[in-house]
Amino acid sequence: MMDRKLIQDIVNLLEQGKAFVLATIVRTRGSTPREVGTSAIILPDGRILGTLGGGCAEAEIRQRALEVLRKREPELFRLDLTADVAEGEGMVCGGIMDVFLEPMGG
Amino acid sequence: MAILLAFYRALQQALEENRAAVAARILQVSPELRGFLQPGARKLYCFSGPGVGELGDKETEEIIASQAEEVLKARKPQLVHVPLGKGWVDVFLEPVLPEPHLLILGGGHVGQKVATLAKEVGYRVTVVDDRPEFANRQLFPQADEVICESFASALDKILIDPSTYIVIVTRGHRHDYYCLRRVISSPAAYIGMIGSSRKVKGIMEGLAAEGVPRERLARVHAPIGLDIGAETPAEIAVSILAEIIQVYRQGEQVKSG
Repeated sequence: MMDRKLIQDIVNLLEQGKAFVLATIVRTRGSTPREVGTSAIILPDGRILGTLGGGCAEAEIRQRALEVLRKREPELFRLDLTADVAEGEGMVCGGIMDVFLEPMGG
Repeated sequence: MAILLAFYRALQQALEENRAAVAARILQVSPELRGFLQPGARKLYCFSGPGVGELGDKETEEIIASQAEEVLKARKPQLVHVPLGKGWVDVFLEPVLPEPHLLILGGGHVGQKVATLAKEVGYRVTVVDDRPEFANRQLFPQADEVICESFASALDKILIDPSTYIVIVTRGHRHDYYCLRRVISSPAAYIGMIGSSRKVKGIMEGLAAEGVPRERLARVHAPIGLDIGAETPAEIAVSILAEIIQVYRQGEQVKSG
């Protein structure tokens, strides 16, 4: 859902000319921590405004987002939470999440 | 950059002014279309004014415009795959959902109870009646707007958009008929009309004879409210609000019969 706070943050960052990545969950399959339409901002220092569900999934998205920020190319990133590895790392959701990562501002 | 800022400011404004809109964003483009379509391109589809931004291709924008209305009805974001010539484009649509605006046509006993309950639920409320002894602040202390005018001139002025929920509870058959005819082609999220099954049938047949399409008539909730056996004005108001909440939260149900 469109979150007023997040939109305010986006406007502020754009006005200040700061670079950041807008991450949005655009497709899910199975059980995932947050629903389609959830967005968060990843700052160059790795801080996150908003939440994509926390935990390892969010950590992986953050890492990928920082790469997107370097490449300056939007990317559709598939996060598979069903793999054995994910379970081993404590990701218990067991779904697949497509996250659109978009470099903005700066 | 400037385009992005304009887009997000427009989005912010739509939210602040409680206007329905749909934010569309290109996610992926097949290689052959990358010349004119770019991931990250955005357009805000507004329903009470011009859109903001562009997707880069008129045909795509038109296809997405028709999808946008569905997204608003379903009240959920949607990823749309659009085949285009030899290629394709994936567009993500997000609804911008204002608070429901309840338009109560008729300030009688039922209208009063609906207004009270709707404010309790947190909706914006407008009441219209042409009789000063019914359209006044004493009867509707919490309503956001009380309009004492003929239904005709009030409906000329009020903006009806996909976040408007219309409750037709005037004092009589003739006014109900007039109001329903006026709003039946509007983009309102909900139209409900009070009355016995017999009265409703008569009004529907009258409108059908005037050439109102069947599918328009079929979306009218009449008799209004969920069927919970309500009898008093307060009970009827509860059934009306329950029905509106259902449409607001779950989207329009497919009605049988």
